[in-house]
Amino acid sequence: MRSHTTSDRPARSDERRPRDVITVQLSRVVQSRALRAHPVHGKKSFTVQSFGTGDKVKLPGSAPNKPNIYDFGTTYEHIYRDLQEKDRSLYTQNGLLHMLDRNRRIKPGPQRLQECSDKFDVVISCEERVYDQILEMFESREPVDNTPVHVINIDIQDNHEEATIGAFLICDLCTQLEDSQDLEDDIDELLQEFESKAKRQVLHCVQFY
Amino acid sequence: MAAMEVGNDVQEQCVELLNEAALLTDDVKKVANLKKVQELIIHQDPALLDNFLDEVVAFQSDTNAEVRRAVLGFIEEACRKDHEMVPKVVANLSLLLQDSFSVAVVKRTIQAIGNIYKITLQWLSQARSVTDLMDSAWSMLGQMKRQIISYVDHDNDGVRTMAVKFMEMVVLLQTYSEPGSLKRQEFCLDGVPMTLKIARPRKLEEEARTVFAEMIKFHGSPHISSVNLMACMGSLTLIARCRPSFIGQVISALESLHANLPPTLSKSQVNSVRKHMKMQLLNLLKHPASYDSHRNICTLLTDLGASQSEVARAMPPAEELRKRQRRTEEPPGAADDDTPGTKRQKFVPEDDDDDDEEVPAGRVASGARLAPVDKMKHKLNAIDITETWAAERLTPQLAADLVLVSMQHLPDAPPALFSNTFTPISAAGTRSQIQHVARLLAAQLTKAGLGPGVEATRNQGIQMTDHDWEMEDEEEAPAGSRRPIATVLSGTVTGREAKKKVALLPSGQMHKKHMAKPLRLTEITRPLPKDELEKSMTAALDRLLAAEKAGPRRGTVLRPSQTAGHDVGPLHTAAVGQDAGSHSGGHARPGRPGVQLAVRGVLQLGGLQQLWPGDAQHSQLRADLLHAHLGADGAARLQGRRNPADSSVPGGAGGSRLGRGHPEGVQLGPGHLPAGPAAVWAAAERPARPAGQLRAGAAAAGHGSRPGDPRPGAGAGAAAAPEQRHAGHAGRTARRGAAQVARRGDAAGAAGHRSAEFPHLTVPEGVTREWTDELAKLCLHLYLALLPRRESLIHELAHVYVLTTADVKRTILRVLEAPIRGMGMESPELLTLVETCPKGAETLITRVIHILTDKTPPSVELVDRVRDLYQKRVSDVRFLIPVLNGLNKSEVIAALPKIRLNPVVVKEVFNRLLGIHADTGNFSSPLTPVELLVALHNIDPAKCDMKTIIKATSLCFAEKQVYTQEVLAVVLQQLMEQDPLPVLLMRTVIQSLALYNRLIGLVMNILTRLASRQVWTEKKVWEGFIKCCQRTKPSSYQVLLQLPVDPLREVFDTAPELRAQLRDYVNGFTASQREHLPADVFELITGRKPGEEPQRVSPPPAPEPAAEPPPRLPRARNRKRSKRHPPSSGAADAPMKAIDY
Repeated sequence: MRSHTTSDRPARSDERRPRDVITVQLSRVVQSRALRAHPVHGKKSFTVQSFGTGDKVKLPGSAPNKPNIYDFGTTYEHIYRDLQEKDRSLYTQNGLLHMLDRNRRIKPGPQRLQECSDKFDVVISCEERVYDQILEMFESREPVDNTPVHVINIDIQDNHEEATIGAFLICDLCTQLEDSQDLEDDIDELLQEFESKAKRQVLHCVQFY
Repeated sequence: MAAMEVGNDVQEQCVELLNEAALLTDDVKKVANLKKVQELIIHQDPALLDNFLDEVVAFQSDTNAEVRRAVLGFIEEACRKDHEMVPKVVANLSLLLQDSFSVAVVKRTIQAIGNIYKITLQWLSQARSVTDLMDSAWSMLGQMKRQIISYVDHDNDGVRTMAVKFMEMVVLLQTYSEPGSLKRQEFCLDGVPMTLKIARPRKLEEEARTVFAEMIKFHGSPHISSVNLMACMGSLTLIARCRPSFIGQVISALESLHANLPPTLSKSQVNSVRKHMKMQLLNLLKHPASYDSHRNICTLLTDLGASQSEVARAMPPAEELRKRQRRTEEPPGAADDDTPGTKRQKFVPEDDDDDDEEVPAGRVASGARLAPVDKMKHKLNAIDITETWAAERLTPQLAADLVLVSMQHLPDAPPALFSNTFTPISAAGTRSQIQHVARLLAAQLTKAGLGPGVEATRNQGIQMTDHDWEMEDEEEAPAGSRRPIATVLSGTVTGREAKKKVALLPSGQMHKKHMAKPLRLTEITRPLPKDELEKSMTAALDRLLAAEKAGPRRGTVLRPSQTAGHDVGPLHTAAVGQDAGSHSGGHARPGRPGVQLAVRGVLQLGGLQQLWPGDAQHSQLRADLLHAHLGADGAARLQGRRNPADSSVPGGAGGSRLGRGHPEGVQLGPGHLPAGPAAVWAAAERPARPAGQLRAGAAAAGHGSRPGDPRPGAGAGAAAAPEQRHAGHAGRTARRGAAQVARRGDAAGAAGHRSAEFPHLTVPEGVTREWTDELAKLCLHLYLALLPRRESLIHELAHVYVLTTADVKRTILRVLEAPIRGMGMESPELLTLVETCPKGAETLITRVIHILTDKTPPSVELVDRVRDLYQKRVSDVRFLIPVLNGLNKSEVIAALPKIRLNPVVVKEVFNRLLGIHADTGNFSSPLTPVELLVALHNIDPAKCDMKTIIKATSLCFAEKQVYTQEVLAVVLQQLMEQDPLPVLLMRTVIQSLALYNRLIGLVMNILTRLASRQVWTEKKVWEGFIKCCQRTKPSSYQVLLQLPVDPLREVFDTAPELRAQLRDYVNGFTASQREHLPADVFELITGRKPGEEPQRVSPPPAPEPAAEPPPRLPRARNRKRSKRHPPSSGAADAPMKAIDY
């Protein structure tokens, strides 16, 4: 997919905390495997995928303590219809249906990072808890061919405004990472720069496939 | 047939794809084509591998890095598919590893080599016989392996990361699997037969341990980047989890890392690293084999901020732990019986039919199994031994000392790293915390190569390596004798092999690559031998001097020579300087540029003393050189121009000769004055400095300072003095030098004011003879810095202090604080100084004592000395003030009247006595607040005027924190008990009452008591009594009624309004109440007999008070009183005789 659209507004999908309503899913995983394939004309040519890391897909429900829970593997289509049936006006109002509608056109259903066998160059999470989960996942795996993957966490609060800012921040970071000729060598510096520019704390770690 | 067709089909496809790829300019498509070919060959028809390998590999010379990476992917897959491919591609790998154009390719190559290395070892182990091809491929891989391992110091972060992962692979591959290790279905040393000649398991294992040690080293290096660090940490943990025998080492590495995080990490990197470490530790904790280290892991985890539940969750189930515990308790042999290691041990002698190898192999096998444990023990021991050693000594006293000592190394502000990582110590002082601190200390000590643990292991370590060497030789020899193509020669074989394969590649490209290999100067250069170096430098100097002769006298040559001095580098210049010395006699004349160069060289040489430490010849040389040529003022200026820190000892030495030979040459401005001392200072810093130089330097400093004052001289002596501690041989001379300088300093100091006596000393224009504040500070700076190190110097200061002008005195007093604090209260020299206070230096001593006792209670010794001084020699109460806290009660009370200085001083005294500003919680004062106030009341008015006492009591009242209601109540009680009553009693009563209204009850009580004690007999108190009654009405009516009639009349005389009020009060009495009043009193109050009706008297007998106007009451006082509201304010300016209430 052309990442232009997805990375500007990372797919807001997958899984969310029950309490928070609209915007940010628990994790966004940026895949930029094709990163080096287009080093010359590579403006925003990175590919992006988003994943959840939890056990289930949780979407906000009618009350904070009543989230809609689906298994990974459920399609967006199914979720869309399900929610439509449950309470159309509520889910239109809180934007959930809109989001699902967009998501179902991008990919069939929510994916779980732990179940994905693709290799990425960079994984970005938006919450420290998710970052921990990702690291745990990598640690529990046995590295096979030692391809490094950079796991980065940028804390983005789970609200509309922050998510929009966060989306731009992540896009900005991805562009920088992609423009780098030698990611491994530059990433430290890039992240530090990013940190001071965005005034956010970044967690970063290297793991191996 | 169908298979053939498929094969042909695939072949055709491949040919087509490859041809297309060769012509394509679009790299993306090229890569795609290659991937397709790879897919086709590897997965569809591996038989074609042989045919197409060369064709695909030929793309390795492609200009695009992605294409080369794709080739590497192909090579890797090909080797995985067919081991026979390995010898064909190793040379290519070697070339790709040298790829100087793209780091990405290098990284990919490392990754591929890692896999291929593993595959090759497996292939070797499984092969029936080892062919020469295999042998050379293996040895070439070995070369590459070494190269990759050396890449751990590569410039590129990513390459380093890959190198670490490669090392991890090597370690895991080349060690035996162990019981309880992470289940990895991977090939490792278990599968390598003992008979494999070219890859002996024992050697492989040894190598693995070396590599592991390298990793640990890299892990602990202070300049490691955060990515590398985390990768390395991850690798180490993985190794520990797969090979539990490494756990101990890994944990100590993590411990030491935790204590010494690289200072280069930014705040968020620290966070990431700590998080990562926490995760790694939790992973380790989960591993049952980490049981022995649980304590350490848990402490580390707690330090890293892991919660109890997190730790508990990661702990292996209790049952497993118990099992583990049982196992460790059993003898190792019994427990390990089922381990693969022992199995191998059993099998090996049987399987091995090679008679030469049989016995050693068996021994080696057991050795190989035991070695890791032993080695680990040694390593562990280093920290463990030191830990126990430290734990034994870690008393609160020592801990406090350690903290104090390290305090001065602390930065002013806590670095971000610290505030980020600091977690409050939850269990301070407990056994486990002490143990933890000891462990941390031990980790630090071991890291620094200190402590008994290191000592103990060092010896063993040496033995180990020696042993290893022997084994190596023993190993090498039979191999060499048995097979002509030994490993040493295999390089040639591989070379041939490589050439064969290399021939497949387009040669031009390869050539280009070699040409373009970046030049690394350090790799291709070797340091010159010393004599050759000297020879060339001498030649260079000769040329310079010759050029100077030929060239214009000043100007052109001067410039290059000066720049030469800067640029050639210290070593060269040093040598030039050295040679300049030997050449100086013949070649140079003073003031010439060449000589200046030489001088510059010499001066630099001074800074490079460590090159030839303790070389007396050099110092003599320098001194001679300077003596010979620097007499002229030009040289002096040259020397003066150099900044003090730079000029070092030779400057001083030169200066001394200079001064001795040509006193008129000493033209040092104020800025240059400290040059001499600074030189000596520099000398003192270097223990190996020859004694002669010190003396010279000290003398120089003395000379340099002669125009003014002794302090720089004293400073020089001071600087020379600490040298005694460092170098015994230099000590005596230094001391003599110091004494000499000090004497001279004295003399000069005395003469300082009469500088006219030194007419021959020319003072440059613009330099005043006046001692400015700045100049004094400049001179004092060095001296004061030395004071804490050489405490006896303080006496010089006292002498100097007496002799100098008032301005300088003030300066000294101002700058004294830091050094005196540095010396501390226990300093015997300071105590001696206090004891032998020179006349005129009292202010200095007072200041010293003040500094010492500020915020800390004085020590007994100090108090004794001060008391002694006070009692026997100088009865200046100022001495006593700082040590008041140390004196006993009677002394303090005796001293109190003498403290009649300004309120500031008195306030300070009280602060000290009351401990108001003392920081320490366990402040102890000889006097309690109560005693102080009581003592103040009891000061004999004859000794001290009342005004001062009143001021002092006011100060007490002002300290509301100390003088609370309760305290004042006690004070009043005590005062009241006294006989005679203190003059100030009633004033204090009134003041207390004004402060605390609730004391009214007590005050009434007091008044009653006073009434019964015939208070009217004591005039002052009686006045106060009346005042008090006025203030406390209506409560005081009761008291007034208790007075006999005469005093009461007096009261009414003083305060007429009381009469009317009291009358009203009495009129309110019932008849029975009235009966209790004496008749005369009743009459005095009401003006009638007790039996009369009050109604009749209800119109107040106005004329009565008028008829008896209070004769003693001055109107002015009356007015004054009425104006004043709070009794305490304005007390200070009250007239003395009449106590103002």
